[in-house]
Amino acid sequence: MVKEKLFLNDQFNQKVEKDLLAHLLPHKKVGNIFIFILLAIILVGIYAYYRQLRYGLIVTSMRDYTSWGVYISNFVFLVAISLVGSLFSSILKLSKATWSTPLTRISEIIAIAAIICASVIIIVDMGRPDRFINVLIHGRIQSPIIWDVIIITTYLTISVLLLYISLIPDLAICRDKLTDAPRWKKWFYKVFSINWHGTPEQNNILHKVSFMLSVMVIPVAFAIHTVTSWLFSTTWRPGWDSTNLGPYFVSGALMAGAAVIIGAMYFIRNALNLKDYLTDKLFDHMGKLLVLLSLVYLYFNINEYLGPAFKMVGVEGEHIIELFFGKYASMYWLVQVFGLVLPIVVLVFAWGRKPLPMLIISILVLLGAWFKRFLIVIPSLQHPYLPIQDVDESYRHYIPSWEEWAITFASFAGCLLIITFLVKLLPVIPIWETKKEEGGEPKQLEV
Amino acid sequence: MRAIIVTLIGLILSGFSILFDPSGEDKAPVRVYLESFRNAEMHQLSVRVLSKTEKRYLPAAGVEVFLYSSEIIDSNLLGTIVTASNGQGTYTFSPAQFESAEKTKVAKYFAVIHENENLKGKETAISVEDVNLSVKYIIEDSIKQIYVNVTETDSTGNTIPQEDVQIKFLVERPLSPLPVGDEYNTTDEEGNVSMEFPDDLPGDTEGNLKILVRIVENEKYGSVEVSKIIKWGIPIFVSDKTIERSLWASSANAPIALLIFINALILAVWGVIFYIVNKLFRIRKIGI
Repeated sequence: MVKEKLFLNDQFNQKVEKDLLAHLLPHKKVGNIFIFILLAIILVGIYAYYRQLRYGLIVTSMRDYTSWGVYISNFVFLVAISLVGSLFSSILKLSKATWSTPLTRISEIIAIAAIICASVIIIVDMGRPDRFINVLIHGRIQSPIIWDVIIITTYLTISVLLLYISLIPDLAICRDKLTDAPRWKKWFYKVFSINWHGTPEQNNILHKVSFMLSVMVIPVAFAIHTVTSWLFSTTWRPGWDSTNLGPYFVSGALMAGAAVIIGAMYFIRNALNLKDYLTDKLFDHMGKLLVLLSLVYLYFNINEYLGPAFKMVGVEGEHIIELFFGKYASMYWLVQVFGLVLPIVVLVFAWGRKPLPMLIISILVLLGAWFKRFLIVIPSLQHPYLPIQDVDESYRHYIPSWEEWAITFASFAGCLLIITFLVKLLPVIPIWETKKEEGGEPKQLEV
Repeated sequence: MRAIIVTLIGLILSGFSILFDPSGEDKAPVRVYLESFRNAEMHQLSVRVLSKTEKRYLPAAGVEVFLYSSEIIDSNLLGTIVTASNGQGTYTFSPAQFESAEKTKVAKYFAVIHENENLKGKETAISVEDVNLSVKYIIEDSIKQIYVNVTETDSTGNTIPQEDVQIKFLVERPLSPLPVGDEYNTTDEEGNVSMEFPDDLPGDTEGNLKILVRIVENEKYGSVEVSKIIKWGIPIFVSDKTIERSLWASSANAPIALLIFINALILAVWGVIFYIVNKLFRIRKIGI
């Protein structure tokens, strides 16, 4: 009986290894054209940034009123996306939602890519990036900007550790199985698998540190987006003076994070032929999760706008009118209807939780999430409490310049390039955990 | 014959070229306004340029304006300014130009815009006459009074009182001067005007106020200012928030509680990170 079980485990484990290592084999040239397109977008972004460095921030449309433009809204969006790592590697893992195991690696990769690009965007937003070091040397600990710098650095470090620790046994499998890999890849697998042989002592340590990280990442992840929200709520502008802003940002981030995972699942499953692992059932689970997160976000949205809209006090009222009926009304209602309400309605039905409808919904959610950050940042800045007398007309409007758009698209391309590179380098679904959960305990422990 | 044909074709083409030449008809007309401002320390010429855009005159930015004294010749060029986004620019006289202008009884200044591919050329001039603006600050029966006398000196050295000259009283403040007293104060036939200065204005820590007495945009004199720092304000107590521990203080004076809280959080989180990294080295060592 034991022998039979071992045989079945072996068969299953061999299939898992074969399937999940297939895309790392040298003859697989997945996505080279995609990488070329991404590099082209990044090059245009670099040229736009060169122009910004050479001529100054005047090449952007940011002026004294709208001093945070599309860069900061994009930064908030990318920070939001990065929260997905904590959702899967920590919240779902600790709540024993084993269905989410195939998605942990993808979520961790996306989290790292997003937080790196968010950090770069902040530097891009600086008129004098050469003075960034002064923020660290002369920064005031009382300033939320310094809290943000600290928390982003910490979250990036933890995200790298989260990805790496769960990777160690898989890197050892790559080291042992991918003997045909290029030399640099073999070197990489050998060095970073840190002599992993799956001994009981190594397993115990790995379980222990993995659990510690899973617990620790929750407050850090909540802190990163809460502190980002404090950048706004501690600044005296209409629409930002809200105690609701922290949970509003966190819930929105988790929703956007779930949407980005659905999109990634769809493309990875088709590009790498992983339909046996990223199953329709998994899409169904993700659909239900997205409905839950969207409902929470909807709740905070109502909280965010109901109070000020009921009172309509001064500039706060002007801000609400501009969002509801003014020049930002079409964007605002499109975001609320197509980026929030429609996904809830569609995903409630089982047919809506199939892969293709889910992809379309996730794209709508992501577009809604990006433009929502735009709506949070820009209209508020155009209504200062102390307006400038006879202000230049250009200060009252904000349409990003081509340089801003080029840099913004380059940040997305950079994010996708990091994800693509890591997907081509690493097993995108945890082999070790898949074997353990579906094929019985790891062989070493059972023997 | 060939030369005649070429010449004729050239003339025809040059005639038609008027239809296609973007210069000439497309150049926007401009308006230029020039004002003078003087006080004991400096003399400034302020220029405002408007250009016609879509049937309206709007501020013209980036326009180079040449400023001359007496007449428009190169040797009389005072300097140039380029207008800002509000169409305005200010030229401050150099010390030598200031000294020379002070000695002049009647000065004439010109602002010239040369025609370029977008704008038509334009010049404007102002005359600025010398004027004596004498101010006395007197406290009578605990009432603070400012007496102003405006006169001109004729060629024989006699002073001639100037009637109907508008005077403004202001107090210097950080962003812009604060008007005090009545909005319109006009000199009488003796050239005199006075105002009762309010006694409830906050000054600096010693009660000092800088009082500005101005002839504003007068046709003959331009703007002329006399100022004096005088202890007619209420001394204020300035608490230096930067040396107290607070959220708005300098980094060295952050609140102790905040320092403890943030540093404890950083130490706790990074302590765990270093512990985990240490354990990774342990995993590596076990596997050897």
